[in-house]
Amino acid sequence: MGAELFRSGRFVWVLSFVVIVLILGGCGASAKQGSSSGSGQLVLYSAQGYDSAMAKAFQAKTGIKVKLVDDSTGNLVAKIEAERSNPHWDVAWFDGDSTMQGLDNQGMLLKNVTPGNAKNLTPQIKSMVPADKSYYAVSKTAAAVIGYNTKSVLASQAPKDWTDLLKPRFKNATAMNDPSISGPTYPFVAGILQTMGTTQGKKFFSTLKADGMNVFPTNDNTIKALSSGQVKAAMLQDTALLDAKHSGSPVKLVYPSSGVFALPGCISIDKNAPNKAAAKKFIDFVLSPEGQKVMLNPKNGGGDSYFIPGIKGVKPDPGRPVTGIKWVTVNAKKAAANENQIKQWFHANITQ
Amino acid sequence: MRTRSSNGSMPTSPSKERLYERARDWVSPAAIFVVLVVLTIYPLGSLLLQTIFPHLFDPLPSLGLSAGPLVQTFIDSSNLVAVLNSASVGLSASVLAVILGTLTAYGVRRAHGRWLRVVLSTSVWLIFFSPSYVLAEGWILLMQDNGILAQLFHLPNGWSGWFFTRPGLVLVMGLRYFPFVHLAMVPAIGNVGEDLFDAGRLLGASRGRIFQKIALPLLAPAWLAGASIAFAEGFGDFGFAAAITPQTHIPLLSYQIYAALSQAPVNYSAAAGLSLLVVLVTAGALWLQLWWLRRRGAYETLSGRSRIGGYATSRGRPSPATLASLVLAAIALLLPLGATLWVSLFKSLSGGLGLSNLTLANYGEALVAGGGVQPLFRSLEYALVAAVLTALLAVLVGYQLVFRGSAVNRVLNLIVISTIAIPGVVMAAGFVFAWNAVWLIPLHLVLYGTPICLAMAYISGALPYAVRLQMGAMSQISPNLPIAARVLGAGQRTVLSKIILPLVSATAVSIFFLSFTNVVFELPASSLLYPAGSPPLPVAIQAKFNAFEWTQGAALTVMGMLVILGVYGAGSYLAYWIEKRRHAALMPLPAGGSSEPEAVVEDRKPSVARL
Repeated sequence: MGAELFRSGRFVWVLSFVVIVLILGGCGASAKQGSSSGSGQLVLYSAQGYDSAMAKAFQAKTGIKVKLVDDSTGNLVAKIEAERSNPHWDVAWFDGDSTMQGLDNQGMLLKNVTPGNAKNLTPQIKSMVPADKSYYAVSKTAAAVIGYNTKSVLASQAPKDWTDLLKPRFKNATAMNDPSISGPTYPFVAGILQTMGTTQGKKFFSTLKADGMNVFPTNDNTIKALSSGQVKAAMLQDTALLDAKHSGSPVKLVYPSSGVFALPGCISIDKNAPNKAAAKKFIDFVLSPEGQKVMLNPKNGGGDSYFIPGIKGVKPDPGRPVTGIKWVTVNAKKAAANENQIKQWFHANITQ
Repeated sequence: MRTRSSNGSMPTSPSKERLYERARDWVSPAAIFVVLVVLTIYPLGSLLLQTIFPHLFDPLPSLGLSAGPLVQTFIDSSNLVAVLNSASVGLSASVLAVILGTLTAYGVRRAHGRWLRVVLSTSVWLIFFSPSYVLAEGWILLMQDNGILAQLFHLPNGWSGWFFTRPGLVLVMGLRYFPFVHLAMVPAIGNVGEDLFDAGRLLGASRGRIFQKIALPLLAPAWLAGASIAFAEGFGDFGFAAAITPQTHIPLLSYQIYAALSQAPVNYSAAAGLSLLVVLVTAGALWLQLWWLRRRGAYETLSGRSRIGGYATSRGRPSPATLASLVLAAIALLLPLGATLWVSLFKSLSGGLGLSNLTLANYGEALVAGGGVQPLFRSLEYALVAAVLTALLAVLVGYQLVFRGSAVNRVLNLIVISTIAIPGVVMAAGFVFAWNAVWLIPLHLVLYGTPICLAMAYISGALPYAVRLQMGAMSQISPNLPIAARVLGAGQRTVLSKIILPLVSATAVSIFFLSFTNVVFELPASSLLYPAGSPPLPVAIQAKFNAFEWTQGAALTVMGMLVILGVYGAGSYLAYWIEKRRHAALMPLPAGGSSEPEAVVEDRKPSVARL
């Protein structure tokens, strides 16, 4: 009877019916979701590991329904830019002040946001908030540190500063991410050029490349290469390395003596946000001790939870080093202005 | 009567009928035109137009013309190098895919016994199901220093250096894309029918001559269908190159596109210019194929008299093709499943290979605490809807193009298929521009942000593959079949549903699974287009990977693959049963079977392939 069904064309009608039922079911479900926003809603675009837990906690506290879009920073920015004539988001939240500054430069962010809890910010984090108050720094990590594989590098042979990676024992055994693809890598490259000077900084990367450095697209590949021993040392965001270390990989971290570059977690409101009031409440929640505690729980955020809190009176997770770190602030405005030029140089000379 | 109807003042009933018939014949091409515009042309156009109107989608849209991005794209010499690199990688990958896919297709046809066939075809499908990142991962685990092979055979560091260069990349791609050729070849080999080979043998032709003069020309449409997809995939690849050749970076066109997307602000006009280049090259390659096929004339294998070749039934030693296919299948099974299954069972990624490091906890965590159940069901629903619609559309569009192709249709078709090589993220951005445009607001047609928009993007992504495969299948049908039916008074709908559909139903079922699998693991469109708060499975998996929860991400991936495998198991039984029925139906029927299309053409001279 089935082949008969197929031939008579009735098959097509049966399938069409099934599809229509499924489509109606899907729309019904989404309509239900849409109408359940009793006390307002908030559309949150975030790349932070703890965003889902924060969305739940905020919803439980305020009754405001949070609709989360969780993605990598690169994808979120591509999405925000593609929507720019008709934005759908209220709050954007990801690591990297130069990237956020780029959105501000295009006039996409709401300026002069003054959350009550901004008074809680620590001095260094406060210094990263721009004068037009278009975004807030709410946390701090290191854009890159050196991670080494403890099975292939003795502790006595471990690098102490960036330039130690140029030693012969690390030939063909280093790795980093591609700043044109991976979010936190550009601030690191910009930071090296800022502290070493442009010429010396470029020479540093060129020499590493000549010595056989691997340039992987993202953290994912680099961490695996380091954990498996494919490379001996890698320059990576510290939260990624801490996560690998705490989940049992043979990896140790070195905070280079010449300094590491502060990478703030940044949060902003869409200039045309339909839910501005809810968005401001959310930023206040992120800047509250209650909110930061949710973010600091590795059960909620995985590796992303090993950050240095942005507000006073809250302690970081015991698994994250705090002392003996020389922090360097990268000039976000300058980094944003030079971004394309530096990325192009890196691609032409290092990646390929 | 005739004069009155010809001056149109008062049409009489027969010409009215003809008019109605004519109008009806135009309804379906027009409807398909609209569907293609909505699904592909409008989103693609919204993107490509930005090469000349860079401010079209600014908060204050303007039609300010600028040739800058376009000129930049075509004068930048690094883009030319990238095009040549991508083309050479794509071409090598497609050649390898053709060789491997033909081998496995013959392996399946020649396999003795049903279970061997099931093992072989399931293995090919497994490669097909596996998301690319799973395969890349599998290869790296296998080949790297201290990797599985190195540990098994005590190989020194650096033994696999060659693998992480261009030849390795082509090898990995060939092994990834050969299922496209396989899927096109299996029905094609069956359709060629043994009588032509018998005739060749009787006339004393050597095996080489039979291959060259009979097999090659008859199988060319299927080969080209698979090869063109492999070429387009390889031409547009980003993930494999990034994973396999981090040290010897090959500048590919897709990389240039990703770099444009990561510029600040995102340089969509540059990405659009490069995508235009992608479309031109892929469309050019496709056009060459179709031109070549037309030049040498059509070689149809499905006519009223064709004897459909069955599977090998005789007992005896398995053929070399079957043995080689089994080896390929072993690799196919071990790589994707092995690597991912393994990681999904780890307590810790670096805890070693011992039993003490294995656990099932990741599954519970990923599904229950990690909230993976809802995304899984969401993706299943999307997959079912998109796959059914894609399979149907492919039959309709393929029919238009093969049997009723107008010039407009052919151009449309080339454009639709050449979108295979455009990176998914760019196509998805096109959907954002197109279906979030300000001019849709007063019409209440802003579909972006709704499940409909994502489903449309899924269909748009699967359609080029589907149409290309379906065209390969349909170009084997003799045009005499539909013509004969038309002469005997059948309408287009009857021809389609009673002649074409039964003959290509096996391909339609393959396309259903292809699209289904595509949707379950499709990341770029999913992540850019999913309705806020309702992530589908690929987004949930990627979120785990982004948070370095590899074990949970692997567990979700395995769950997705298991579900697809289950659906495939059920579906392949259906396909088997349909094909069995089809074979039975294609045999000359006794009197009384006049409703069968094959019986209708019984008396006509069947078309035999022109040799």
